[in-house]
Amino acid sequence: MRRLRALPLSFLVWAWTLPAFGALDADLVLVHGHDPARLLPAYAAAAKAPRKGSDSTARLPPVIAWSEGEEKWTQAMIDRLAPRKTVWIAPPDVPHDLLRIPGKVQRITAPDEQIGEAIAEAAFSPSDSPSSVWVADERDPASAIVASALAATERAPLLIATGTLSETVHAAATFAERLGADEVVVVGKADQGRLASQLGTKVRVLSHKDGLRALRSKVRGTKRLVAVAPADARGPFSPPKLSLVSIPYVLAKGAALAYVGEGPGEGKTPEEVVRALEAEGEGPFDYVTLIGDWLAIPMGEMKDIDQVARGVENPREHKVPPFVDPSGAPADRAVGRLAALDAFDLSRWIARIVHGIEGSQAGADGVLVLANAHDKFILGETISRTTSAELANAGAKVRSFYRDEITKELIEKEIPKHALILWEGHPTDLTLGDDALPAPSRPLPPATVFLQGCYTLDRSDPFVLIERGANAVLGTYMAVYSSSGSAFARAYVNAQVHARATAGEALTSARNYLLAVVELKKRRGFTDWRKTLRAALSFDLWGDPEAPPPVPVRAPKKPPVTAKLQGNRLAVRIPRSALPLSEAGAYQASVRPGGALAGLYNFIEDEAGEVVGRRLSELFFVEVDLPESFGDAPVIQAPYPDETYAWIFSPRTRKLSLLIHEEALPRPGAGANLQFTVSASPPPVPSSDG
Amino acid sequence: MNLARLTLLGIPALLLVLVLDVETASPEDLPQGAPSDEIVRKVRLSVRVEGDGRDAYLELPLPVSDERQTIVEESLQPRGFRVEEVEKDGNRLAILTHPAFEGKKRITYEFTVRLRPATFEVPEIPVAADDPPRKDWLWLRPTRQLQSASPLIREKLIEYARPRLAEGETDALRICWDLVETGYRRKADGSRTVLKATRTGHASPKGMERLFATFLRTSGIPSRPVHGVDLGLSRKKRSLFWVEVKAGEEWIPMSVSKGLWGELPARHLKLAHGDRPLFVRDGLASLSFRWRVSDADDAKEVIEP
Repeated sequence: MRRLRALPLSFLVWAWTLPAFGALDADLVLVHGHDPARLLPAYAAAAKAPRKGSDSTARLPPVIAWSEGEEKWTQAMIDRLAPRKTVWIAPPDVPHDLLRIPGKVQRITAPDEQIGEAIAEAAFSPSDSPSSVWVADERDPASAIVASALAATERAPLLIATGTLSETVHAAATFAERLGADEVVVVGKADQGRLASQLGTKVRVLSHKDGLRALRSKVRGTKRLVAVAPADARGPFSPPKLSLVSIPYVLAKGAALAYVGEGPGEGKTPEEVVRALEAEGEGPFDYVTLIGDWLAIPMGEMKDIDQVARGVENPREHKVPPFVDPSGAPADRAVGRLAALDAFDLSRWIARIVHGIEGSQAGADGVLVLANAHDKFILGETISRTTSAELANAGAKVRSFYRDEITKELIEKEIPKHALILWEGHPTDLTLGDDALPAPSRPLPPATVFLQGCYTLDRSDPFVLIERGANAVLGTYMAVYSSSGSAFARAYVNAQVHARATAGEALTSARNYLLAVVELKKRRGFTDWRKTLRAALSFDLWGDPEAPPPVPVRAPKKPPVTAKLQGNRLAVRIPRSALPLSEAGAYQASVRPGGALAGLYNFIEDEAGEVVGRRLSELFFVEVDLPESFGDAPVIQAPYPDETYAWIFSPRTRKLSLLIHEEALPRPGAGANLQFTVSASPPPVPSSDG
Repeated sequence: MNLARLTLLGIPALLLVLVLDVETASPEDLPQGAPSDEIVRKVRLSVRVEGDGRDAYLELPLPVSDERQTIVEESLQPRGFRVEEVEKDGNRLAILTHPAFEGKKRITYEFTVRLRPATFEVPEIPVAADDPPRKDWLWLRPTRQLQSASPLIREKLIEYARPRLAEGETDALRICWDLVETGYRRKADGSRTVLKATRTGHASPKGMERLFATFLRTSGIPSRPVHGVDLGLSRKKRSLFWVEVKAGEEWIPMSVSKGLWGELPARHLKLAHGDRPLFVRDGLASLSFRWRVSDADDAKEVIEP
């Protein structure tokens, strides 16, 4: 058996030496570049046993990939983390002074062909008794990714072959013998029998599919699925390699891992993968995170439904967010996408998510509302003002600016101070300075940025915001009318304020709100419901679907709209006290806490019958869980006109979403207890002969 | 000796003859170009700055002598600003600073330059399938205006390149050139930013150059925009923008918007390269500038060390 090659001392520069604890003993690991040979063994070496009671499969310190050009954002992250012990993993020629690292630094420096062994040497000793040493080939990212995750869950070393696989397997066997490990596990294509006979040690070979199954078996019953596209790790035209840095997220969440997209993903979509896994008894998956941009994990496409209905000759093609049904079926999973310009940005973002780095830690709190900067969307501004009031009623610190109050200087000054930023209006670049508004060029706090406007996720903003430190970006892939867009944002905020919904749950709730508005509009005979449907389909979350609300809120000062199901009776309580009247231009809105708005309004007439303004119709949106006994197509009945309420129901989540128009109230603005009856199927129609 | 030292020494009128630290070309690297096409011009850059009491910072690009252009003599009148000359990523910069700057000043930089046209052999450059070497990373990584990692950019390039690669074409340089030339509508007031140009389909000449540099970077070919001056044009149209592409160890000038495939006319003076503004500034309330160009047939050439 070949002896493990001694690591040249010249390649290992130790600023100071630490004892091995079965993992790199650090509260920050900095990895230069995104080479699999450096990055993937680092994850395995940094993994520790999860905390008791945690869903995680391993506990890692922040592992941040960086390179030249990323210093500014990496430094901001280091400053925020203030590590006491950092492990630096890099080729020997990377200057040490590119980053200012506080505390103690352990430097593991070696060329790529030796770095895996150097990392393993630094992290593992015989006293750790790892059961195995893992091996994969850097030219096979699908195998290397899952090998890294499996090695991390087993607290075992991983070596990535940069030359021949057999040479690395030999090195692994020698290392396994020294550590007292039972076996060498190769993930990828290899001849198990031949390797075993050559090495004289136990060798197990897994395909990447076997590896994924093995990983999923460790988290059986999890409701979380992470889908990545290893095809983004290699090839021409600068693939972003996002799949390579997904591992800390997968491990921290204790999520099932699946491959999608081209190559190892076998061309499958996330929806197909989820369906297939659930059919095999895995899941069910309530939280799905896609790690990859839309090139790696393609989105569905659809022609603009409104333009098609109007007979427009060449209707626009729109991207459709994952798990969104173009025909308007209720949303029933909390879904988020982690997409970034490169693996460096994503590694920092995942570190922020996994380690709970929030706006308040960066001195940012409260909410910033910037609405109608172009003075074109008065109706949207009216709704937006009620959203500000809703947040203030729940104790959030809110600063709101409208129309010409919104200037370059204001944006630059205010954005870095807030944990939730709600932009409502034209999709002006907040970050690049492409059009009129400016680009904060300094690092941003880990805020949630809601870009309510047309095509806001097709622009540079989300990428730049993520690069600079944002934790979540919500936006659209389609054109959105201001009333529907602002109504959606309000519904999202309501879900977070009143139901403490996570980002993904709030997105689902807001989508279902607009889908219920579509049903209500149909019932009321409005023909423009397709525009509302388009808005419902437009929004997507770039972020962790389980992210908690970004700003702290307390019990609302004025009580909100509530609903309670008892037996088959659904009672909706409408409180008497409304939020402050919202006025913008000719529009006004009075809404109860937790109430909703859309583009529905009545004219306000003066004593002479002249129209002097428009009052938005108040709506009430509630969600309740229905028992199985109500079947998959429950029916709602009420002693109110049919056009005053509408509902949608998701059989998967058993969630009933009910929307009520103010005309169901005894009079506008009145408090009330509205009563609805839920039944499993339509009641029999009384026959004329009795 | 640099500008700062000379300024601090208080040389009257600051008429400086500088010993230039230039990237010299070996004879075999010299681009083709007949000596008779050579021109000599005296160029004066006037930068008018206005301060509002903040500490002022200004980076002024100073042209570098190379195989095509030779700076014969130069002088800088910093008008009370402290000056330091630095080299950064191959650019020569005068860093001008002034604490608590208030009021207006006109900083003048004057030089004589000898220029000749250049024509380069443009080789085929295949699409890179592997990670580029680290030494080229500076000219490959995405920057503020060259968003080469954006999925929007990658999608546009991949959609265009795939069928051509499938047909056996391998030259990424030609593919990127053709994409910008045919995939975007040239419009004088079109977008200057690559993402907006890709969304709207029309690009200004500057936008076209940025698109070209961006697509090259996406393809793994080192590239950089160049700020220059057209010494032959009227005063208001002098600012120029083209792209340099790295082939082997050589930087080749190219301009899609001007149809310059590996060639540069004598009148094009290079000032600086990289994704940077012409003037980097901070703490200034306003800045305006203008060029003045005149013939300088009797200019003396500085003997380089």
